[in-house]
Amino acid sequence: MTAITAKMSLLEIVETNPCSEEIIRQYDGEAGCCLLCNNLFDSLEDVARTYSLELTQILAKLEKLDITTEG
Amino acid sequence: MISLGRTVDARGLSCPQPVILTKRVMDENCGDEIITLVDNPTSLENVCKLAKSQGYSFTVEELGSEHHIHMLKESEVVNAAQVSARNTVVLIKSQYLGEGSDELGAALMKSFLYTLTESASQISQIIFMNGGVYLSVDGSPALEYLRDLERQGVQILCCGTCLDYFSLTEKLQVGEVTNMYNATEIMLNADKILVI
Repeated sequence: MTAITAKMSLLEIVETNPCSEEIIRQYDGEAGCCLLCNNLFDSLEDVARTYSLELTQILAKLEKLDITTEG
Repeated sequence: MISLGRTVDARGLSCPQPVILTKRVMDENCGDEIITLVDNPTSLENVCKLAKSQGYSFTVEELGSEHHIHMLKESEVVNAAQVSARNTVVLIKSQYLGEGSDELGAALMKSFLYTLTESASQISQIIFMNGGVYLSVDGSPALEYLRDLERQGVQILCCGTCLDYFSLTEKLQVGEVTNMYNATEIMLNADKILVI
């Protein structure tokens, strides 16, 4: 499976691993909007910067997902 | 989801599912017509963005609360011709052209953008960064030229971070919001870049 990186758009991330959708939705509240609706074509790092989200934390969760679904 | 050949019935689905399902069909049927059915404005907007980003021309048919998005892959031959003829990117970093006088700089920028409308066939994208985003929002003296450029096929892109920084996101009048990743990729693939 392709590794998820901060440079990937939310669309690419969800395409790479459909389970990532749930993780991204966890941040809707903090961002104050539906990220997958409003920022689907933006990179994860841009989204994190725009909404002041903790990028390393999101990546860690997504990375964990990668390992779980690969295993 | 009911998939009828190249029709994607994404009614009742929320984002990103309509986009993902449409992209899946695009990946399988490059060159064919695809019709995606959606019933919410977010999905409509995002599927249209996808179509544009994947080189599809599209039309939207409104049927009550539903929208049918008809997408057709633009000819590879036409695309190749367009790329070779139209691959200059203009990066505009300020609402003023040059330094010394803002008043003069604003007039020069307006004149510059008008002049670009006369050479639009050579330009693929205009990217606005930093204070340059003021040119594409409410109150800009250059909106009519930017709209003209857009009509002539020039893609107008505005830095989303910059719009947010200046609290201008809601005031965007021309073009679409982009991010640094996309803007960098466009510049790296350009034949020429004019930095203003």
